[in-house]
Amino acid sequence: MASSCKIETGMQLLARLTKQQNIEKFYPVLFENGPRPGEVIELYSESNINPLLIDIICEALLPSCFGDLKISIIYFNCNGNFNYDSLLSCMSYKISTYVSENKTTQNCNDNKINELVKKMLSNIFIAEIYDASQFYISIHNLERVFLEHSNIAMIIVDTITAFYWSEQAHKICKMDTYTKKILQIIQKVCKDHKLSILYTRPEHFSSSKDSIEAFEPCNQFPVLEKVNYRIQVVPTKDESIYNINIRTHKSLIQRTLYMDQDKVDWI
Amino acid sequence: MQKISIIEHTLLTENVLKRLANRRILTILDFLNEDVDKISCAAKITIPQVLDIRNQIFDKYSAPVLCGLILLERHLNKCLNTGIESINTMLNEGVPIGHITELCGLANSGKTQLCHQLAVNCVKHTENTVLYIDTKGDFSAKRIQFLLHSYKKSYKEMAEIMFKIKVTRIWNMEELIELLQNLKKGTIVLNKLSMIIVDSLPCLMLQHLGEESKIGLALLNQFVNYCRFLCDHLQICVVCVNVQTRWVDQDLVELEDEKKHYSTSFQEPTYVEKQNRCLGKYWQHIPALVLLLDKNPLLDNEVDDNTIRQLSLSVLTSNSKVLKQCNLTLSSTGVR
Repeated sequence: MASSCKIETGMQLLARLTKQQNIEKFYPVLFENGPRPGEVIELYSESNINPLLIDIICEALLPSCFGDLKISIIYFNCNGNFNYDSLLSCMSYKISTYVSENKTTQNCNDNKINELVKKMLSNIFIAEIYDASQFYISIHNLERVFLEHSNIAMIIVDTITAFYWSEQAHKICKMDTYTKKILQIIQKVCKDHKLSILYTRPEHFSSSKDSIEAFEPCNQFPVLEKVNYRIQVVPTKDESIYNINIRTHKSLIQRTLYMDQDKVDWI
Repeated sequence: MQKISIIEHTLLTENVLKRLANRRILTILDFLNEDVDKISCAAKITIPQVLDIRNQIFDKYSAPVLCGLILLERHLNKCLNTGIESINTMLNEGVPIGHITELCGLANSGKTQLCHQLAVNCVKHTENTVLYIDTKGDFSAKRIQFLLHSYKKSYKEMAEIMFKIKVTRIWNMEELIELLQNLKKGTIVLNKLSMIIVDSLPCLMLQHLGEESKIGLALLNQFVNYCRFLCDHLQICVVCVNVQTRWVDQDLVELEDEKKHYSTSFQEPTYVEKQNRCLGKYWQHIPALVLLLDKNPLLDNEVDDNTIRQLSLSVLTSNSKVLKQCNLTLSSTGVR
């Protein structure tokens, strides 16, 4: 047997399968009390949503000493436009903001902030994906990644449709079918680990040109190929203001977001 | 998807491959998608042996999972100096390394001139090499020589600089992909490559316009994948020239007060000019940076029989809104 394969007792297996990192009540403005383990979040827009994605990642990675949850994330960079500088700035900004708002917290100088940023960065794992084959194989490889990093609670795929066209030959697969196929593969690999899955796609990448209200309804519980949160980011006439439509199984909530290249603020 | 037969593993003998093929397990993905115990039964090998093959596939073909800390060191603030001060100031030091940059503009807006200038500036004072992919057949060595002449370079210096600009003429997407594939494999090696300029992409893509099979998009997706790999692994920037198209749409606008309703509403046609970036929706989100080059003919002037054209270069957002802008001049001595 390969050396990387772990042998574990039934008790260890049980512990591994049950001791899941909890990401509930994470980013409440979007997910309220969720997302629960195993749930799927679809984030789509015709605009660049990288700043929002970076904000979500930073919120997830904020160290527990700040009252937030300590989890790890695995990020599949399929479109190549992830900005690591912005991620770093956002982390520093969030820590500084938290410190200035909570003066009771221990002294936080620049060195301490840098230390915390490094701590946050050590909880994100990034896979740079360059083609469809590598994408599928890397999804299957998650089995091994979870053995090494058991505190991974969320997988982010940005963008799930990045290799769609390179896989189309003379017979073209429907866009929705393709998205579901990839989602199914990810869900099958992650099923024992009950991870939350967040994926992005461009808004035009859909077989249905209907509005969010007419889309297939969201599911209440995690189900294969089904989405639990459908989040649409809609640009407005004002350059940096976006309307956010959050669809769940029970409601459609609308929020407003200020988003520019470096900053995200909920209005 | 690659065939399972490309994996070099002692257990994957001809007989095992045949047995797998009988169960329609032909590709690596088929192998990974199937349950381990079913493969074990089908191929008549033990479960640990199946796991060993799987691990070899993962080691060789999956993306390495890197900790955020490592990536931080790799990606910090890397830009390529364009040699044009106003552009460097606008872009915070230059064109981003590791990403695809799009340079778009209407026909005759000076895109090729700017590409020539970027190529010269990139190699002028460094050991860098630039790969200039000419798809229109209008790369002009004379123009480069003229630019260098204006910098008062000797013939020897000109030759040294021009030697560092590698020009290739490509006439279709397949050739372009083959070239990038060879760069990826290492069968073509360019020392100190710092920039690839593709002038221009729509020339190749428009050959596939209207095809029902969407082969053009498949090729464009492959091109993007190779570019991303080269950008990251060779730490270079890729500049793709795109064309801006201008459409005049006739919109019908109701002039009457909306509160009043008439049986026959009075309408008057208005004409709205729309400018689009070519290459379709898929391409719109691909470049990390979109630069729009525009000319201002009203501001052009003449000095000593030399026409000085005024250009503006803007950074566009994903919604095609102008984020930043700088002014450039185009004359016989180049773009400044």
